[in-house]
Parts: sequence; C-alpha cells; structure tokens
Amino acid sequence: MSRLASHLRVVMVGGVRDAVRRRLFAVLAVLSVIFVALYATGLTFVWHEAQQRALGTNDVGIDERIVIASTFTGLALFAIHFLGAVVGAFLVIGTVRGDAELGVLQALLVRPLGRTTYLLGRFAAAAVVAAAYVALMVLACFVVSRVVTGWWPDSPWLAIARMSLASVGLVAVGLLGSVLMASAANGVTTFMVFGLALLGGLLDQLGEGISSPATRHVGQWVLRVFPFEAMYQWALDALTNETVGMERLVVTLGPFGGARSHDWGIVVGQVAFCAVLLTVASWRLRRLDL
Amino acid sequence: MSAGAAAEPAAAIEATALRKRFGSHEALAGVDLRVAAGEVVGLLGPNGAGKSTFVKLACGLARPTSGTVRVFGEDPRSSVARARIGYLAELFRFPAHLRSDELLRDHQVLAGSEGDLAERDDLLARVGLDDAPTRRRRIGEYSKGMQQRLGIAQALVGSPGLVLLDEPTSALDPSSRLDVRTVIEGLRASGTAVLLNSHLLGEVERVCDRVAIIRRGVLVAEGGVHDLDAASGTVSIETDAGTVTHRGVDRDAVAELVAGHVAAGRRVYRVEAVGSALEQAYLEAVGEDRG
Repeated sequence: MSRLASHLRVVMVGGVRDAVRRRLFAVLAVLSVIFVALYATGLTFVWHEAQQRALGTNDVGIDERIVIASTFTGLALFAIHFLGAVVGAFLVIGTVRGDAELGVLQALLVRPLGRTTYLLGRFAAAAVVAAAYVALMVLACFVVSRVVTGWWPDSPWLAIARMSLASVGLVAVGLLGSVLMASAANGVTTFMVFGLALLGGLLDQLGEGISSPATRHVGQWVLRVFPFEAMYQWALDALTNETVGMERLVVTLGPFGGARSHDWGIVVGQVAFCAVLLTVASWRLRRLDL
Repeated sequence: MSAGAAAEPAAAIEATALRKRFGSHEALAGVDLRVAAGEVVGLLGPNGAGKSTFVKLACGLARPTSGTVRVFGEDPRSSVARARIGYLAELFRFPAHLRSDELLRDHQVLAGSEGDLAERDDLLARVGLDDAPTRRRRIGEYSKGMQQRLGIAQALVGSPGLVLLDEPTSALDPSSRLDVRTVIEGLRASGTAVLLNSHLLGEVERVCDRVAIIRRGVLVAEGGVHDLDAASGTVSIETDAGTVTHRGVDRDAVAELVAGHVAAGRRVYRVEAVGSALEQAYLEAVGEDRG
C-alpha cells in the first residue's frame, strides 16, 4: 500500500473510531430510536383515524392513502435531513482548531502526514458516518411507512442515496469552519448555513406558490450555492417520482421546501461544492500555526 | 565551502535570525541556535519567553515570520525533515479509547517505521508501560504521568534523529523523572539529538550537554552546562565555628575557601551548593523576567 493510502487509512479509521465512540453518538443513537418509534406511533394513529373515514379516492380524484403516507414520509425525511446535518456538523466541528486546542492534532501533523491528507481522511470518515446514519434512518422510516400504511416510495434507493449525499455537504461546511474558527462559533455558523439553504428551498417553493419569478429566482440561486438543499428536494422527489395525477400535484407541494426534480448537474454541483470547500480548508490549514 | 573539503554534517537544528510574530506580539526576535546531531540541549527561559514557539517552528507546526530554521538541512515542514523528528508537545491528548499498542501502531504507520511489534515492545519497556495489565488498559484509564510516559514513547517511534521534548517531566513523579533521564541518556548514546524544553533546572543540568536561555524572544545565554556552572554560585560551608555562606563563587574558589577555613584551624563538616550554579546563571540571565 502506498504511503499516502496508509496515511489516509489511519486518519480515516481513527476518525470513524472517534466518531462512534463519542458520547454524542450514543445520545444520538438513543434519540434516533425514539424518533423512529414516535414516527411509527404518530403514523399509526393518523392512519387509523384516516381509515375510520373510509379512505379511498375522494371527490376530486385524489387517493388519500398515497397523500397521507408520502406526506408523512416526506416529513420524516425533513427531520432526518436536520438530524443528518447535526451528525455531519458535530463530527467535524472541532477537527482542526478544536483538536489543536486539546493537543490532539500536533502529535499527528508533526509526522510526515500531509495536512491535506489529514483533512481528506477526516472528511471521508465523517462523510461515511453521516451518510450511513442518514441512509439507515431513511430506510427505517420507509419500512415503518410500509408496515403501517402498505405504501412504499417509488424510488426508495434513489431517495436514500440523495439524502445521504445531502448530509455530506454539511460535513464539508463544518470541516472548513473547523479550520477557520473555534468549535462553538463553527457550530453556530454551520447551522446558519443549513438554515440559509433551507430558506432558499422555501423561497423557491413560495415563489412557485404565489407565482413570483423574482422570489423563485432568489430561492434557486441559494440552492445553486448550497446544493445539499437541492439534493434533499430531489430525495423528496424520489418518493413519488412515478406517481401521476392529482396525487402527484399534492405531494409535490409538500412541507418545508418540498419535492423538486433536479438533473444530475446538481450532483456535480454538490461534489464541486465539497471540493471547493475542502480546497479552501486545505489551503488555510497549510498556513495555520498549530 | 571549497571544493573537496569534507562536507560538515547537517545540524539537527540550525536556526538563523529566527523571528515569529503573533499579531503585535513578537514571540521570537531573531534567534540563532544550533543543535548538533547527537547533542542534548536544554532550552530554558521564563513562561512566555518563546521556548515552545521555538520548538513548534523547529518541528514544522508553525511558520517563521522571518529567518530560517532547518532540520538536518531541510525545511522542517517538509515530509523528509518530519520523518526524522519525534515530538512531545507540552499539552497533548491521545484518543482515550485507544490502547497504547494501537496508538503506537498508528504512529508507526504515519512515521513510516517498519519496527512493528518489536519496536512497540521496546518503546513501552523504555518508559515502563510494558506490563500486560497496563497494555490491556485504554489510554483514558491512564494517569497523567502514564500518559506523559506514553507521549515520550510516541515521540520515539521510528527512531527519529531529532527528538523535541516540551516539558516532558512536568506530570511525573521523581522515579518516573529518573526513567525519562535514562531514556534521554540512551538517546544521546545512540546519537539522537534532543532539544529539551524544561523548567526543571536540575533535570537540564543532569542530562544536557548545552543550555540555551531565552528571554523575551531573544537568546540571552548559551553554552555548555559546566561552562555556565562555573560562572558563579552560592556555597554554604558548615564548620565548628558555624555556617558561612559565600555568594558569587566559582568552582575553583570553593577549594580555596575550604582551604582557608582549614588553615584558620576550623573543622569543616559540610560544603553544600545552595541552589544549583545553573540556577544562578539562569536567574542572572533572565533578570526580572522570572515567569
């Protein structure tokens, strides 16, 4: 194995090992189980109530079963999008300045380990953990939706892949922040970026709802700058991308910046977004006194 | 250098007019210091004098504002130089969930060491952490002193040509300090250069060949430990007529003082250095900046 690959492996394995052993991760695991349990409970109640109203196709030709199941699953995806951001951000929040203040970093970077290699290793570790966490949570919610309602997303694996890729964007934001600022400031900044991107999605949705091209334009620009939000919209779209008719119209206008179809350019945009942030982080880290 | 002349071996550390500024604060104001290969040099100075900054520049963790520092002739930020450096920071923390063996194995990979298990066994034995129960424990369960000893072992992974130790004995009990002294003496014997940054003058006096004293970012004294020792000191002489303290005496003067007491018909019971001569030299060099 080349020296670069061995260094990358040590940093990455160390990063994953550190991540899963943090107390935060144990707390998160418990909260995640509680979240899935609450989701199952809530969906069961709603479904039961709806069935008592003799669910079926209503007067305007909408199958309420599809609407209820997909909307609730979409809501769950929003919550998971947020949880994925929490996981991604907290895995890297103190990667550079935080670890340097604790004296963890110096012993590693005094070795013939490139600072860019270190960053890439930590990014890969956090990205793998965050993406795996999001994938597991989304899959759990899909299974719950299936068991309770009998509904299953049109393209579940696409939805999982897009949600996972969305979480990686926040990892890159948090990693750059860890080079530029202290952990607390980085946490605040990372969630402000998350909120800003979310706002972009809402503006895009709102602009469509009120037929305001200017509002949509602003929203779409925000989505271009922060493509992880667009990835989330695209994941929502995968829930019902093969659904047609009135149901399709209703579920597309889902909550919190709902489903929107994008093309593969957004994946390129997301990869470029991460690459640019990592390049800036690497450039800054190479000049940083530790 | 003239053609044909034998090339002088590159110094372990060669700092020339080294300056480091943090905003408006000048941590180092033009330091020239050479540490030869195989030499053990003590770096002394009050808190905030710039010692740790010098160490960080020498191991490539920080960039000089101006001037140069070379490690075995290379830029310390280069991977070639860093492959020859072992470093123990003043403040450090290892992942609590690892075991000593796992930590050293990671550092072996990063340092490019092929020492494998035999090297890890040797290093842990040198710092007294090689017994099976200790090796089974996680680092988070170690005492501060054990972690510091592990830090020293970590710094020695890959048999570096230069070891930079920043306050390596600050958390150690007297017997552990003796172990560290033995380790440093072993390094000297194996031709490894050591830069020891310490507040413990007695420690430095015992193990170092040379001492450099930094005050407010400037090198104010430098020389062999015994050169500085000889400069001045305070000696207490206990005789049957009472105890007399003599200040500012050098090594040769002590013998004359004792001879003088004997010639005066007094019985001499004890001759004792009050504080070390190095301590005296240090206090003179740092003046009012006593940390």
